[in-house]
Amino acid sequence: MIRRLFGLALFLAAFVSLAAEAPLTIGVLTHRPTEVVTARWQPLTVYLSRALGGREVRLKPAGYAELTELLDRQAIDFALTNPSHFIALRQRNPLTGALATMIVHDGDHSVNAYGGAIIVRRERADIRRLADLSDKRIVAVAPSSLGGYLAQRKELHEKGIALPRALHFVGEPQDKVVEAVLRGEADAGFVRSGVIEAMSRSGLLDGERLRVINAQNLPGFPHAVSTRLYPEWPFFALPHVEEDVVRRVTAALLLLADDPVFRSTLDRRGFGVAADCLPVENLLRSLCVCRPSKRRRRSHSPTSGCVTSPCW
Amino acid sequence: MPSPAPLPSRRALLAVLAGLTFAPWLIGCARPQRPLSVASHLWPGYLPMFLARDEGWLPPGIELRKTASPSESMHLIERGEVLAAALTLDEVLRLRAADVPLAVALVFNISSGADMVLGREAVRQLADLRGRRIGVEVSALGALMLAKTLTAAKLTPEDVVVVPLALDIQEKAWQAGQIDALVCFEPIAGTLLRQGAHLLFDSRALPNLILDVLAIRPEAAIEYDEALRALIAGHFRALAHLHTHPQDAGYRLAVHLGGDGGKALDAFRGLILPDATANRRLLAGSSPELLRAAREISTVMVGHRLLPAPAQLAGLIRADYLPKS
Repeated sequence: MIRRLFGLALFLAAFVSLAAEAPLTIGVLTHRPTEVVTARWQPLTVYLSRALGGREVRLKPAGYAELTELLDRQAIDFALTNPSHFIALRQRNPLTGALATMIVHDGDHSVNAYGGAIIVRRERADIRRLADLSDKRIVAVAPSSLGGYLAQRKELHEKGIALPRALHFVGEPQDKVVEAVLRGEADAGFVRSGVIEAMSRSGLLDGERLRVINAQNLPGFPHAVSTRLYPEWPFFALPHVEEDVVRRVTAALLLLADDPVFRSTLDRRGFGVAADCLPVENLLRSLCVCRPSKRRRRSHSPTSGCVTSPCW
Repeated sequence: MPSPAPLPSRRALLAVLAGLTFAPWLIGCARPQRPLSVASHLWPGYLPMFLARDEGWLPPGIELRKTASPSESMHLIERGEVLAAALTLDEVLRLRAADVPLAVALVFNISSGADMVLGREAVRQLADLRGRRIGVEVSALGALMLAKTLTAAKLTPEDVVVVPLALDIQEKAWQAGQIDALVCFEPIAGTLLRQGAHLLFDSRALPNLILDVLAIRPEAAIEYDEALRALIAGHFRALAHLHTHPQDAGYRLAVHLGGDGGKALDAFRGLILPDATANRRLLAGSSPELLRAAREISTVMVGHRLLPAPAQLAGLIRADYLPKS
């Protein structure tokens, strides 16, 4: 009997050890084309693998729907997405809080915030102000996009301007929004700050063909922006990941800037201390935006007249 | 022959007389012709007021007048060229002692490390100040910080060389080596610290002693009731934005602070920024905390001959412009 129990214990220990060494997968939102996202974040998997003593780390670029589904199935271990998507996902899954917040390095500036840009073709003299958008055709990436939809919607809401009726979501990546505006299929487009600059830098766009309206005066902010700024993308873990692994990954992310080999490999990206998502929660609350819960309980808010799930 | 005009009835006559009786009050209630002008230099604690203006959270009829220094703000409110000014509490007490009947309507911030004394290479600790040249603005705050620093260093004014320096030439004097130590605050303090200056003393050693407040003249209290409420409400709205939306607020404040917006919030280190609730605790109730601070400052100032006599504190506080809880 004792020999049997001992054998079972050995089997379980071997199984646990094997499971502990199973590859870890990081899901990353593909706000840009998959190949761009992969090229940008692949070095992070090598860096984290080294920090975890050689454990394999994989990258899984995914759009909004796929990333949401991967989290629902707990098919990934960590994720990096925009903060409004993170908050929506947190309503459906018991995630950790943000472990670290992405930082974007651009020239002498390192920023842990971003906003939305409203772009039009340069020659469109009829679109100068936010109010000019009300009867125009708008393209945006997706309803969950913070920099590519919600930030602009909030800006219009604050100025008392109705969201244009002719609003069309084209899906990821955000490059599609830029292309639709350039082709004249839309009068204006919503993209996150930095997309125009990144596309121009990589030769995908002649930045002179576009103009950003409602441009904000934000000294030191390296990108054209039309809205308020919000905290950058959070990096977070799913609940099944061992606490020790979460701790070691968090430490490695925060020490990335000190690593002489990897600090310059992530296409101007890095990580800093986790920023508070409160500004984004406030935005979602003010716009009555919330994803339906798994049980699809819904309530009607008598004060705002909009339908929200009971998440706050 | 035309009939004589009928005499007004007794009721109509009473109405006319009643109108005459209230005429001065009605004139007093008329909308003020000039805007409520507020003098302020660019101290971080005052900047939420400027953010409120930039964001359109202040109504028309409020004018923020940027000054180069606290001394300029004091001159403007003393002469009545502005009706309100952002000043330190000791500056308010000094003006009241000079018969400028100011009241405090708001506490912008409490200094808790933001006011500093910095030393150059060879001046690493307070004792090193003996025989050194110390630059200081000719102001109540400068004098107060210098006096407290010398007390902490167990030195007398005769043990050092005091170099009067206006705010706008302090950094230049430091770079030119004309002084060995400097009484200063942000943004100059941050710049010099980044260049290797040594922190010798700061306002953490003087809890609740250096408060920045909105001082108002009596005319403002009478004629600009609504504008004052709107100004203070706008300040609190901007303060809430700073607390709940720091990334955005930082870049917007950089318009006034200069430099990179990503670093703008560094300027608020060492400052406690009381919200409306904390302001009510400081200004309202039977025993407002500001009065206790004012008594203590007055004692310090009299002890260092910055005031001729203990400050008269009656009428110092006007808490009625704070938002209701």
